[in-house]
Amino acid sequence: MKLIERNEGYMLTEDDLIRYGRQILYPSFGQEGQEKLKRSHVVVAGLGGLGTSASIYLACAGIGHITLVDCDRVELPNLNRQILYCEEDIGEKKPFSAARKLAKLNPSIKITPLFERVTEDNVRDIIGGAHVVIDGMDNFETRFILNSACVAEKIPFIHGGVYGLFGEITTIIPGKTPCLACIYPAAPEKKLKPLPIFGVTPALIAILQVTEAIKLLAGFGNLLTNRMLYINGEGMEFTIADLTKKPECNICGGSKLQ
Amino acid sequence: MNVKIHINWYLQRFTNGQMVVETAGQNVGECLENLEVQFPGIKEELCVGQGELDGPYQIYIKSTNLYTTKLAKPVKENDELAIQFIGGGG
Ligand SMILES: [Zn+2]
Repeated sequence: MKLIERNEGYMLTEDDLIRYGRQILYPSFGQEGQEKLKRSHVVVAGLGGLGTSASIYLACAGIGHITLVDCDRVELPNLNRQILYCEEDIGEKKPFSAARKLAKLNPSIKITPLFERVTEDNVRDIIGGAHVVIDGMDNFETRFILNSACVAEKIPFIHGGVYGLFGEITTIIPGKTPCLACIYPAAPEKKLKPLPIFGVTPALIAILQVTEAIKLLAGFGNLLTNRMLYINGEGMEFTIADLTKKPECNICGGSKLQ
Repeated sequence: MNVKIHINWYLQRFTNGQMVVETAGQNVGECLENLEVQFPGIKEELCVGQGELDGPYQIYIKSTNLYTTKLAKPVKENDELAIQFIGGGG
């Protein structure tokens, strides 16, 4: 994991102290925590239900640099859950539409929109230098590409997935926790395509992903590592299952490297 | 081997609302075969094909992940299994 270094250019301004005042009051966070967020770079990979909700709270929290990656344009069926887009944005490239809204929400942060499909060829360029990658993907093929690159670059990867009123989340720290390939040996194919989704489910998972990112970047609290939280909004059941490394994971080396 | 299986809410329509059911088998696959006899239809929903899980479900034994989709993993007497549903969308 990359250590976030102190740098004079990232000291908090008077405006920062006012804007983030309520979270700076939190004892285990404080001004030091806010400075760490200001020096942080987070990549939001995928700007659907998860990515739009996550990027709003990352921007509000004062993450200094947010990269937004997606290769789609806004469509009407997105609008039940992808809350950064309006009807007038239909047809616009998602990263640019999202970046415009976030810049209004918080003009003091840097936002880099990338209208690209994440592939094995470009993934290291997209996530290189980031402190955290948020999984906002809607398919396992790209998730596995991101997972492999995060393991290689030693960047924490906060995995989230949703279906209907169900969702799951875990925080992957390369070298310390199981990676995505340990947890899911094969991409689970769904019978229903497109997947049914209510807007509230990705919002709930995304907010937990950002909660994990804030704690991880500022260095406090307990993370959802080595555990998967399953959320069942229909039965209103929240279940945590323990995760262990796959003995011979071909991505992270698994438990045999311990 | 007698085992308990914790059934996630989405699958409880097959188990008449039961959250925990008892079944038996030497490995995970056999337990699922017996579950199908008790609760017809559940195996198809779990997408058990060619001795592997290929659907949006994940099975834990004693709340630890199976590491694999293969169902040949042996179970012990009184093991507790849990079937979880994987969202996967974004
Ligand atoms: Zn692994």
